[in-house]
Amino acid sequence: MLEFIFSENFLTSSICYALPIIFAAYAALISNKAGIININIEGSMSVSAVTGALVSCFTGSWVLGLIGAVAAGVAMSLLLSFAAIRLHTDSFLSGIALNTLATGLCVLILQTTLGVKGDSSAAPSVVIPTLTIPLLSKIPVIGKALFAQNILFYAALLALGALCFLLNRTKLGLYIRAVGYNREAASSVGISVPGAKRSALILCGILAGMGGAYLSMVSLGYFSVGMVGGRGFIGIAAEAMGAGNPLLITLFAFLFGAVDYFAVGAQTVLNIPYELLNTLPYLMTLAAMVICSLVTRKTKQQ
Amino acid sequence: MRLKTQMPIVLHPSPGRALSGVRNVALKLAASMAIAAAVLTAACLLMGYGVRDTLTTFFLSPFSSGYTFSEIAREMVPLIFTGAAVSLMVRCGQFNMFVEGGFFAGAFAAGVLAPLLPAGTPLIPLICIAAAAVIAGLIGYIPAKMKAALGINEFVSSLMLNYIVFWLCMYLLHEVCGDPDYVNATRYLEESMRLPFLNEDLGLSSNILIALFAALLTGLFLFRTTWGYRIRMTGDNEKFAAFSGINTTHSIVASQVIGAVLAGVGGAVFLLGNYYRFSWTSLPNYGFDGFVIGIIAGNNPFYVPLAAAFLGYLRVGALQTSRMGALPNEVIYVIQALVIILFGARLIRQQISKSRKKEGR
Repeated sequence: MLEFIFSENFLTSSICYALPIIFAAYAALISNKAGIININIEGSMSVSAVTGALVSCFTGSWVLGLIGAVAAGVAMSLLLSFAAIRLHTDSFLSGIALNTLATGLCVLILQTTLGVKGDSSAAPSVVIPTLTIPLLSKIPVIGKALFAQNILFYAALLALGALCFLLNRTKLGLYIRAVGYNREAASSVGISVPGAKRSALILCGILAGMGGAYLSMVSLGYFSVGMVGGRGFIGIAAEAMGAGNPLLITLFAFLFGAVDYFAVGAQTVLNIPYELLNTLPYLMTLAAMVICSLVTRKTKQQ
Repeated sequence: MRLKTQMPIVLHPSPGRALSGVRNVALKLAASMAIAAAVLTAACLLMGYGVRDTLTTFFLSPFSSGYTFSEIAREMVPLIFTGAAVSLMVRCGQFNMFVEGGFFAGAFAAGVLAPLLPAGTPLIPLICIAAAAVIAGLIGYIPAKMKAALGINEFVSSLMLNYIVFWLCMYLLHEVCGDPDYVNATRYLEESMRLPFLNEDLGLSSNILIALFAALLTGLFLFRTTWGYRIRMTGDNEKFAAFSGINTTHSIVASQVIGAVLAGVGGAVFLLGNYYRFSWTSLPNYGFDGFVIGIIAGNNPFYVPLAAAFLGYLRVGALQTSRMGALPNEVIYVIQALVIILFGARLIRQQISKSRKKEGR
């Protein structure tokens, strides 16, 4: 058991399982900073996943597949911004609507292109390759986990840096934070509230798109209906626990990934029914939310 | 306890006034039909099915036979329960998704419990429904308490809870209380364990009557009792409610627990009326459907059955279309999504009221 947890493989696989959650959490971060609770990340991820899988299969190029996935994520974000910002539908309701839309759209897309309903295993995606950095990847224990990873892993690192830079060092980041912090005040000094929100949502769509692409173009190799399985929502939970701090958020998302992998990996090691192991990531999310809330409450009291 | 005089501040329209815009709702329903037609046409053109045949099947086949007509009633049962539950919670400002898990847990509990009771026990369905209500209420208390005591977002916590409930039920079904002679299902439900049929040939179960009654009760609770008033006040303006002496913590917990109970009862009633075994293999998505119903009905439980009838009609249309071998059933989700946005859009609401002002009404 302990051997299983303290192995190089566990670290590497945990990162793999965490990546979609990390992307979802970043997506939640940027939209939350602009004051939009975007529960549509889940739906965006599944539409991106199906788009990425099919585009990569039909064009034979993972680059185009990834671009397609990101474009699909952005398209979902634009739909959300149209509904929530232009039509003034409650952003929460729009999110529910778009998640419902995503459920239907994924099946319709599969049906239109492949004539099947459940998954795209008949047309496997072109997998996004792994990038091994020579020398560094030879470092024991962490070498393989950090320097022989999928390209999207480096993209996530880049996204982390870019997010920190964007939010703290650029005009757009300042605008986004200002709009999220106090809409009226931001608007009174001439910041375009809808503009800032839309920019945040577009970035959110890009990130969710990469998360979706990871699922169908790296993890599984094809799209399957329901493959996102609440990871978008867990990402939102990770964001809530990290309280807007990108590094903390990454940490929590990684933790969720580790538990997620544990639930899968431990099935071979432990004699516990898989149904019970499957509750672990969600149980941990609940527990972590309680603990976080208790901790913040205490620090506030002091 | 009856509240005789209402306080002047009521942001949500009371039931008497809610349909003052009958025309408004009628317009939106017509627009929803147009949306449905547009989506279907687009999907047909993309996938190469006949547009006219599909549209005819979709819109007319629900009324074509007694069977499909009673199928609308069947579709309505879960929609009414989850719609009423969501309305109650949204009126209190709570976006709790446990309606989904509660419905699932209620159905599962009823399916497991009914065959376990000794044969000849009177009123088995009632006992099962009560048990489902208790179980769903107890689990529903978790996100409610987390929100009220710790301020944890009930949306995320209830979603996580749904998955936990789902996997726990799956575990129990596969390993503990499934039928040993039947793959992944509970034991067979005898006639004495089930709710009676209104018309057995058409498959019309009496559970639709229970659903209608539940919606009525929820409406009376929300609009005609002090508790309901407190819940609405809390949802309208939490600070004001607290300031005027309402225990908002209680309202928040109560609304979510009662919502969960409604969902649990709904699951049990649906299962005992329309199924012979519990054999669901995934969360049935009724929690999200509850939000669709809630928004069409203006979160008013009295109108929930009407909204459910409308959506039920569209769903049977979609089912019939997919049975014809044309479009997949999932096309209904696309239509549902657009209907939510249509009904939820404040801009559209404003424009309608503006145009009415111009007309001098």
